[in-house]
Amino acid sequence: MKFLKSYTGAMVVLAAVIVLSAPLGCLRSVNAQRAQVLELFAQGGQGDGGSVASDLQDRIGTAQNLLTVARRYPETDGISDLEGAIAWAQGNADPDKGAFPEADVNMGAVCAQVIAQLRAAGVSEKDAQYLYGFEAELSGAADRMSRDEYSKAADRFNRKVLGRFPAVLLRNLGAVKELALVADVND
Amino acid sequence: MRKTNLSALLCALLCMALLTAPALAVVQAPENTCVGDYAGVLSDATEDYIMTQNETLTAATGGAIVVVTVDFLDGMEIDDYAYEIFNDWGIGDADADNGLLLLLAIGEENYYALQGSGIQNALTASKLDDYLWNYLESDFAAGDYDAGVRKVFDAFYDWYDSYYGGLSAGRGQGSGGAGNEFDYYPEPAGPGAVTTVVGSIGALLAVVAVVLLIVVVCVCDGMRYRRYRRRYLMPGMPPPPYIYRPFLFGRPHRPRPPRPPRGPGGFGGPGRPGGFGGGPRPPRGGTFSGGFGGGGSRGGGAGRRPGGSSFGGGFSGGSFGGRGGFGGGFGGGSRGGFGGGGSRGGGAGRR
Repeated sequence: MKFLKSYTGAMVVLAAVIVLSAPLGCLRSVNAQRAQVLELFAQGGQGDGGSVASDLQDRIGTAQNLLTVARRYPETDGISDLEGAIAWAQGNADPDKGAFPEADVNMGAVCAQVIAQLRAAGVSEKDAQYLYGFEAELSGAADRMSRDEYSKAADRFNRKVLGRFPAVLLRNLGAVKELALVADVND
Repeated sequence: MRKTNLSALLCALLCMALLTAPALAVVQAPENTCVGDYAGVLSDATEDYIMTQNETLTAATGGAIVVVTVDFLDGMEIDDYAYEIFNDWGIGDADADNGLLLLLAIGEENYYALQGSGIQNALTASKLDDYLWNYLESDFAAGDYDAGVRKVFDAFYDWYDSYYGGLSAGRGQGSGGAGNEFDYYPEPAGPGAVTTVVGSIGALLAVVAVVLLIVVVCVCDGMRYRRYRRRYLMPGMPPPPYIYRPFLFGRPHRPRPPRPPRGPGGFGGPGRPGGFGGGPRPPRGGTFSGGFGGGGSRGGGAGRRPGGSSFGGGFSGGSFGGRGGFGGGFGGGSRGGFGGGGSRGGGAGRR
């Protein structure tokens, strides 16, 4: 305690505060930037209610509708795969979980597979129309997701904020994670 | 010197933030028309019909059903082509985003419909797909494009009629079907690039100000102590009238009591055989006299906010046999004849 009451102790305390404030300040700023980008994911950037989050939920809803139709034809092979893909996509709808693009792309691929299987097996005329509708919904939502501002903002954040000093130290230490990008449907 | 450099850096950062501006789309749309028949497949009667119907639709709802025909897409995907037209021309009402674009690429034997983001929940991609399949596909496959466009246009118009509860009733909220919340979503007034940069600089300045304050207080303390010592602690001075108490760090300085006089007989004095008593005390350590340079916090970086996208002005094709098929192409200048609505994509095309 005597040391802390001395001038040397004061200088040591002050130096420690200054040294700690730099990474703490950086962490606070980086997290604030990250939160802004995550808000784009949830709310969208155009103020029209559309966002990657809502489009992702649309795709999941369409996949579940497809599952409903597929279950009418139990001989279809991909039903269990589709159930698993939907569950994986639902569990990874949060962009903080970096697997959400992979889960979404996987779900789209499994849906396409199941639709092809149903068409090959032969379905009723009404269900055939439903299948076209599902395809249109899935591709439409994927198209909107790929064009959303979120991916550009997340890419900029990963490259220009987390990719530069001193934020890159925080990323390497695992204090701040990169944001996942939406897969481009045209890829 | 350090303060000068910091000021220059702050000025440079502010100038960069103020000069940063998003790139703007620069395209030209046809004036006062909702039909762009660049492939020459629609009759004059159909074009007039489309324009007349759109006048009623726009007056009632702000929306528009725009029909564009081209021969080819210059290597673009039809959904990208439609997306660029829709957002560059601003089809539909700017607030409601309730426009609809029907694009026919005759030479590529393809078509695509794209709805505004304000009606995408009511007029979903699957509904668009149904309309296109039921009303356009058979005539399109047979090469009777005029008849097909007429039929699907009427179907779309009827949808707007049911959605808005009658187009002759004037502009109002949508009323048809589920998911027709016709709410206006004003753009969120988020912090701009300048605010973000200024906010980060403000935090940095606050930290620097606190450090400077502590340094100043320590320096003043040192000056106070030196004055106190000169006045009361030099040899021969009378006892100080008060105890020196530092502002922040250090202990209150209590003046030493006067030394007892040395007794006769050298060390130890009477009754204290041997031993070591008395003798000069070692001097105290030097006082803290400021000079704490300190360092500033580097703070966190601030990223640039995402700017608007740029579609460029070099898009000038789309018509078989020549360029400029849009009656002016995608050059410079302001757009005309459209309300400014936008689309997020996600339309429907030919099966």
